[in-house]
Amino acid sequence: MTISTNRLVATLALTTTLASVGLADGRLSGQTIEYEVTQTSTNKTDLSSLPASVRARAEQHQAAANGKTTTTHVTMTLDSIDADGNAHVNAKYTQSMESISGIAASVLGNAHEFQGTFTADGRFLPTFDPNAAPATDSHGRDTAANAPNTNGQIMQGTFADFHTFITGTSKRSKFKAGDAWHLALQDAIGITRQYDFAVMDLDSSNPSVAVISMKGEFSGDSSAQKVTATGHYDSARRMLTAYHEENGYSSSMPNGMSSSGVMVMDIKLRK
Amino acid sequence: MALFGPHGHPSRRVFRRWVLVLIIYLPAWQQVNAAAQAEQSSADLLAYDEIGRIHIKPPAPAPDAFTADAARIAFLPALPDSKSVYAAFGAAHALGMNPLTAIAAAPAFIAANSAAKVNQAEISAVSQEYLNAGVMIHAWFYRDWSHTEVPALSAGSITRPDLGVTYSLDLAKHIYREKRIASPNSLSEDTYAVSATDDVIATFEKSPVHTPLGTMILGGLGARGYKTEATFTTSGLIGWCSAGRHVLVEIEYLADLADPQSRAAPALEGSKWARDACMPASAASRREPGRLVLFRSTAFSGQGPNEDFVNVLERGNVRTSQRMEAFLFTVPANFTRADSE
Repeated sequence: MTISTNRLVATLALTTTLASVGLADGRLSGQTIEYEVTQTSTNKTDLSSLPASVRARAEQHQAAANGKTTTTHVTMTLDSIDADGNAHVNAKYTQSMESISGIAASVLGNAHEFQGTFTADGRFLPTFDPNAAPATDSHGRDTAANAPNTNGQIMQGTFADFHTFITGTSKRSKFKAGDAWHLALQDAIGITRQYDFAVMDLDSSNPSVAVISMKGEFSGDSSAQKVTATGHYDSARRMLTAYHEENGYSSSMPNGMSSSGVMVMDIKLRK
Repeated sequence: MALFGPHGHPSRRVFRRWVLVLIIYLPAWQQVNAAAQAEQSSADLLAYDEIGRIHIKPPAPAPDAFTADAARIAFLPALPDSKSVYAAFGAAHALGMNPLTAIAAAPAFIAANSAAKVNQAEISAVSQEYLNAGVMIHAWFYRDWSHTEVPALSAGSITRPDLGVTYSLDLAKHIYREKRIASPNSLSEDTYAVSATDDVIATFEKSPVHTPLGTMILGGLGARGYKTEATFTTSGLIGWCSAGRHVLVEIEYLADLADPQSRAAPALEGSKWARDACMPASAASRREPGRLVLFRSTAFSGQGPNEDFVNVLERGNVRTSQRMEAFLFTVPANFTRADSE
């Protein structure tokens, strides 16, 4: 084998290796991505139907919980990247909450492991089987085998609107201030929700970053929800670097029970 | 409404199926198609009654049972009152959702539980009767205007594209809400449709085979029928079809009347047919889109214990008129406005 042939083989091998670790897509096998999620809820549920013996205590607890912030740190390590740029990730999250201490705080602070996919356009899709039978030990805790499934389901809920935001944003290849479009998102049983998107601004310090808004208003006979979000989408890195959402809801059942509140969520890229 | 249950057995299943029935069969939730209207005589008023239901144990009911099925709905018993039980469970559940209030949830659940068991048994029995009987919808159409009423929910809807508005009616409280519908300007912005089922694949063991069934008289109208049979496996959830193997047998009878909710189009074949059978985009015919369906039964046989059922759509009391009755498409004078969106 000649030197030039060796160089060719080496070049091909290096190219193949770089492609397999995702360098061509800007993401690398072994790379770590970290998001910090903060959520603060203010909920008002009509507790008047509870027995008097527990109602006062319940009202105290509801008042104490309102306005307290839960912080979730999600860490994803990319371990393989397919030809489309979608990365399989090993992920974990830890949580803390204002006013929580002791054993409860340590449980929240434990690393909750799960797996998922970080897609080429920046969506984070936890892996879980919604039909898996819950498996708990004698203390009612998830078994070690079942925990990743439960953790994945929890993170699916946390990142659901974040996912919707990117699904809508990634429909545009270029962003221009003032552009507007809609996303009609149908779930697996056929319910469709429409979200309205608009480019609010372009980041003057980073031309690849667009500030985009998303709005959705949904109402039924007895409930209403309004989602208002803004996000900084970096089209060069193909990921959302900051996301802010206010989610207002209200429900009033025919039986007279009512509940309403607002959840404010921020998701920031930390690494 | 007492179709909700605190622990979901079996009322949550009943409720989920009701939701699917309403999604699929409520004409008020679908825009009347302008092209279909153009096909129908512009002077025609079309009205009919519609029953959507799930028949839990196959075989499918007969196509000519509309009158008897409508009478069964008319004589359903009242639902048991679960107001206090459900409210207590709802409050307890809300407490359990938050780590700081979860400690108060357990005694709240215990307090509500025994009363719930009694109430739940009553609800289960009556809910099953409601599920078997189905949901009656009264519908009127004129050009692209529509008016539907669902007596079981005390709900109605009037859509007037010419006014850019949909009115939601509360038939019990005699109030209405007004919602503006999309204007031509907003339609000029791009709308991207994405479905959670886009990536679900249907693999056929037996591709859909369509067999003509001849003609019969349904509600005084001549109708022609088709039978479709197929066996396939879905890789994920699509509407009624969970991931796994499904055997479907569908019977459809059509009248020579334009369907105000669908446009004329080629028949659905292959995976398009399977996808629409599993998750109907509308109540439109799958064999002759644009023609009014008078009867359709879609029998599902799956792998799980809850996967053998028949979706049934029946229409009867079909009327047409050359005379436009304006009052049908106007909010009744004794209704008051609740708010607007």
